Amino acid sequence: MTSELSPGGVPLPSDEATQAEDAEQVTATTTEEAASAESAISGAAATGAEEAPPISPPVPERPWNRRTFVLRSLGGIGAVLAAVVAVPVAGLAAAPATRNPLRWSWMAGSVTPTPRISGFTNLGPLSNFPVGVPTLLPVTVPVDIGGTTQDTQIAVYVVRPHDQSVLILDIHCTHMGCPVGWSQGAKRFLCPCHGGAFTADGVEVAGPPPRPLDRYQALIANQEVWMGPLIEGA
Amino acid sequence: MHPLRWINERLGVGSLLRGFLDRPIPANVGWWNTLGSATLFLIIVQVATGIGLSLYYVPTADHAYDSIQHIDSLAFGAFVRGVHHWSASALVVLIGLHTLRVFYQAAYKYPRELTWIIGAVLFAVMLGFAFTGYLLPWDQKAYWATVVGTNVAGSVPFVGDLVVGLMRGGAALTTVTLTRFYGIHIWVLPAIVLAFVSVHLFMVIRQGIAAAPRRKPIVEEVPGESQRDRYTREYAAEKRAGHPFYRSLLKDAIVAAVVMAVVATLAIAVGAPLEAQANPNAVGYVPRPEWYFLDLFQMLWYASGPAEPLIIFTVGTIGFLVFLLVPFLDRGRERHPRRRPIATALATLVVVGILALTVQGAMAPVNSTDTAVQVDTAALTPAQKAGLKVYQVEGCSSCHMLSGRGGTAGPDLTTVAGRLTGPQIEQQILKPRDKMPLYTDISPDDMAGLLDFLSTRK
Repeated sequence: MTSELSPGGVPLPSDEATQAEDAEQVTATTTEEAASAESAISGAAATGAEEAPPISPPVPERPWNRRTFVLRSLGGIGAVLAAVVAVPVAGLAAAPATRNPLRWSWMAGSVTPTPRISGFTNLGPLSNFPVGVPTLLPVTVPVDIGGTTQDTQIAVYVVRPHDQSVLILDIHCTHMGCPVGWSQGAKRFLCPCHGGAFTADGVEVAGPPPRPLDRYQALIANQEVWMGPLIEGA
Repeated sequence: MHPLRWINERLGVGSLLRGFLDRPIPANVGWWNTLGSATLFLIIVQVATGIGLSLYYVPTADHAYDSIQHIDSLAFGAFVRGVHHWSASALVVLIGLHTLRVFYQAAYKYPRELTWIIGAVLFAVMLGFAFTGYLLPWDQKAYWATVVGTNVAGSVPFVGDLVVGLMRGGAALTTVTLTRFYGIHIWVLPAIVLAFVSVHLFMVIRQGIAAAPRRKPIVEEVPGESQRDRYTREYAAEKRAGHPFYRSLLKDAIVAAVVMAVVATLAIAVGAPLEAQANPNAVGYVPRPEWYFLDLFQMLWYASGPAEPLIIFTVGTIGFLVFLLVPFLDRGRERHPRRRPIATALATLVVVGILALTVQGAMAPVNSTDTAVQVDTAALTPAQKAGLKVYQVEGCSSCHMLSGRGGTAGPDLTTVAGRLTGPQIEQQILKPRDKMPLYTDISPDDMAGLLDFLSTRK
């Protein structure tokens, strides 16, 4: 089978002499390449070009003539240049993702969307929180977001299961992250999305949630409640 | 000299254009074939309105919402935003219908396999546009749908956390998320669309528009002829019996005009919705996605369990791969939908399934913490009315549905008396099996009233 177009495209005028010299030195590899290129072109045209006679006389070529050299070098240099530009851009885009504590788990589950805090924040006297009834508490804390420190309001449930113990729960359902509400009637945190339910301690009891509500580190010091960083749910 | 003639003398595209307009296309290319051009039209509308919006929109959590309100207050602002919003919905509908047309007519078969694959990628890119686009107003719907959406994407095994981190720009959903969604929405995805739509259109022109399949073939059967040869002969015959391309262009223009009229009407009459500003602490807010993601949202009801992320990922990946590789899964020579009963039935099943999930998702009950029960009390005795009060005070409706109102964590009690006897219900309340909380503080009188009331629920 012969080729109406060589793989690289139409021969350039400056290469004509070389092409003519190379006319008898065609190799099997080149012919195969040319044939596959032709079938790709004629397949696209879909007008039975496989049987059609070539428009111009066949111009076979040697595998390593000047034109092939230029084109392959161009491809190589292009690939290197593309990588030099693309890798830093992709790396920049990915930078914040790699700074989280990542759980390399087969089924890691949802990630709470709340901005992460560091250090401990005073939430007020323990006596502010009734025993057994979770309290929804908005806390304003300075948080580093995108390189700037901003006062950010974070809402948590403060739960006092017993007189001298306290739990601080994230408000997001561990299924898909919808905000759970406390139902005093059912004594459950209920998720409005897919029917998830949690006990006052944040333990999952119904619906799809795969793990308890995420907790913050909690301390009682001098009868005051302190909130620490989020314990990433595992 | 006529200005157009002057330009063409320099540009030299006259013959190209004539060839484009006068090339023969099959005769049975008709109204169904306008769906693709209508999709293209809406993509152009999206680009134009998007550019308009980008002149005023501020992609930071502090100012995004205010800038949207500002756009709505400007001349044509609400209209342009309305068109951008509604043509996004129309785009999802049209690209879906276009895909169905191609599927039912088996236009993805030789030599148009690659056209289908590029189209399938474009379908996914359109959903990517929708997903990144509706975070941008930074309203409640935007924020919470993105919380859920990024968590769904995080179902990828092993690297789920990394995927969530890449999408949100960290673990938390903040202004960093907003800026990267904006960048992806206005730069990355449009670049992909430009490249892929160009190739898609190039191939449509290069290969010609597929003829609608005929029940009686246009050419005689030749024994032993390959599928490719037969196609070539068939398509040549279709073109001989066909007409010039320009004759079908009026249909495309009419459909585009109708689509634009619908979109413009919706933009004026309904406008682009804007909920309250995003509040990450909004306990009590009920997140619901845009309608085209309701089917996925609803599917989350059925996949629950510890393996849920794996199920979501597997079903999603296999589903997309099947969609992408349709031309290689259906390799038979038949093109008419009735001669491909399995393919036609499967596609219809998928469409019905998606519609059913969408409708179900739209009508899904809300698992609310303050759901008032609505029961016709006229037929109730005083004791039964007292029982209804107990039902409300104890918060049964937080978990249970009753005549369409209430939560969904527990079973629907609308017809509970048909399933369980009074003692069985009492047993369940006092010594609950499974996950129901223990209710020991109900007095015997209240319990009797409650059971009396529930006995009327048949």
